Amino acid sequence: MSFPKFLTVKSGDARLADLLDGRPVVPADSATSSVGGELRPLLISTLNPENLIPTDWTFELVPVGNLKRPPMLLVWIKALRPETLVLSIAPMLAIASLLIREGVFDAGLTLQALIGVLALHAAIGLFNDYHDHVSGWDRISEHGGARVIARGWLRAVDVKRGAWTAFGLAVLAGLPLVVTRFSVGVVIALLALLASLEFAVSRFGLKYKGFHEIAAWFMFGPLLTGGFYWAVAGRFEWAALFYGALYGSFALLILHLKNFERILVDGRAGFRTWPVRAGFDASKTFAYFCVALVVLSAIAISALVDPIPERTLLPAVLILASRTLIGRVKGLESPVAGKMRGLAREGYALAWWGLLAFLLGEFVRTFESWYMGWFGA
Amino acid sequence: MQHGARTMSIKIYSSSDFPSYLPKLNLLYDDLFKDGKGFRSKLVGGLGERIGLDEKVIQLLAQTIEFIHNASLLHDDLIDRSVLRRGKPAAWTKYTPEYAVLAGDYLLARVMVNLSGHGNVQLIQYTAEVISDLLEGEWIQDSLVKDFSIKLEDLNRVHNLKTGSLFKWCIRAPFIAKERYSSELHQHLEECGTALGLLFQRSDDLLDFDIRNDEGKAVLGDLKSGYLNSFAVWVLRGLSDAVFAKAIQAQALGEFKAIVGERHFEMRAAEFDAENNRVIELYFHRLQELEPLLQDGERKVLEILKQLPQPLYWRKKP
Repeated sequence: MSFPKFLTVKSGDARLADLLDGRPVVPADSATSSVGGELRPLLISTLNPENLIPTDWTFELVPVGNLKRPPMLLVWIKALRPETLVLSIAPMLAIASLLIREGVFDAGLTLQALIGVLALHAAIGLFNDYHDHVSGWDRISEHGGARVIARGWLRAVDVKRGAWTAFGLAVLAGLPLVVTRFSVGVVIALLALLASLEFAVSRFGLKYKGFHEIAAWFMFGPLLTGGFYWAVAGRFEWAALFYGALYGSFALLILHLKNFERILVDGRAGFRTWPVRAGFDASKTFAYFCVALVVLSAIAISALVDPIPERTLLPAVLILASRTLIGRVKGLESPVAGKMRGLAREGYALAWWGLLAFLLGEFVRTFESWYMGWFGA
Repeated sequence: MQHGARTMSIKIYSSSDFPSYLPKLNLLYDDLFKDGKGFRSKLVGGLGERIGLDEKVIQLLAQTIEFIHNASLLHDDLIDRSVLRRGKPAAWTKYTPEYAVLAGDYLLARVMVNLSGHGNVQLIQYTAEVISDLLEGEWIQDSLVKDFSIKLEDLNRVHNLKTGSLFKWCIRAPFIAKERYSSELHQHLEECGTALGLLFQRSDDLLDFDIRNDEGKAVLGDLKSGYLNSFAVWVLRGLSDAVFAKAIQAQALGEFKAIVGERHFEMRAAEFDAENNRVIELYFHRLQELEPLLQDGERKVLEILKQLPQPLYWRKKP
């Protein structure tokens, strides 16, 4: 080949930021002209997580034409990690249903909040991918994230732009809510911002102190459900916190599974995540505990918050769907076992089953009330 | 392996290294060390010579790596229930499993005794880390038997711990012994060692499929004992569940190839070589980056380091 295949730059090198951003490389060597088109720098990974912060960063220079990537729309869809959106969609729909039942539903505010939360969710994911890439964390682990930067499908700088766009959309959607419910709105917005900073760029390092899961429980749980309810209805509602407990437990489970997948790499890199602190077997037990929390929260909702027969679908479906995940966790014997990969995906699948069961319950309820309205009791 | 014109003869141990009042232990070691290629000790010796280490220090390093490597073989053979080592009965079959374990432990203990006598604390610490990596790798690898969903990325991690750690030690330890502690230098050496370990292991894994198997090693041993090695994972990736399930039950190479398809097998083998050529290219790039970090008297190590991928992956004699 007539172009340099690899390029190494030192940490203080002025070119490093551009290379990490994925900007095209034009080597001084004129022989490059034979390549035609731009060379995309792809960060080389390492099997030595102990060297988390490298003194030298090595990139493979790949002609963009050689990158096998799906159509750009699919790449962006993958970058947005649609499977994770259930953590935002499910609690929002549950609270919307609660607002309707209580007669305080406001379609405009709800739509704004839904757009705001989903945009913030997408922004966090994209910022997180960008941050993991430029900080070098992607070098040590191929677990987690959309991997669109590592594969060269998107440049890091594009992911960052996408993240800011999504964040801008979230602010635009959220601003009217903050104005409508100023005092509470500001508090919720600030808490959301703090939580976002942690999940997007590990601002407070909770992940590496073992508290990431608790932060996830709070953010996708009570903060989201309680905050949304308050933003629309203008008052506090205990039932919203019950839903918060359920959806926070999903987030707790998924974050735990994600960190559990990385137990070997994190342990060797010296990250004191919860699974690293607790150990392999205790992490398995904690996964069961999280599943139990999910199921118990669902039972509590169907028994106390929304005691209608169709709501029992929620715990029933969750109990059935969780069997796959529990079986998989039970069979784990090694931190590099094939079944360790995709654990978090199973967690997301459970959350999607939960959403499906909830929506099915809502459908039955709506159908019943429609039927009763038409044909009478 | 011949490294340049001047190659010192390294005597790995003498009778004074082990207690004379334990005759069975001495016999076991005589059997064990005889016929070994001493690849790692020669590598350490060659590198040590070229950076100007004292002959006694070179001897210490060469002995250290051979002791660690042979301790791992003693334990490894027992864990894998391998009955042959270097064409002879494995130590655990001839001297009992208990003695094989003790002899391995004793070698590791001697390593620490010898190194602490030398007094370079950094070297002691690094060596201890390598031993713990090696054992971690062995432990994890043992847990992968019958795990047919293992991914190549995860196997690489295991191989880096189990195989790569000793290669990394071989090329870093001489610099540590010379009290050259630059983190930049060592990160480059570490990555070079990782690449060498990976190449060596993958080449070894190819032997199991009778590829460049000039030594006539037993074929399909890994697969038959329920262990998917790196090449098996590479070949089986993307095949249907039904073909996969049949292939992992194969008892002979011909049967395996027939199940996955001869053409598919050959194509995957070529892709595997291409992927490892990329590893080799990256290794040479790292050597280029290493050069300016070496002091004047040290650059000769590159002569040796440049030669390594050929014998390690392509099994070509230098």
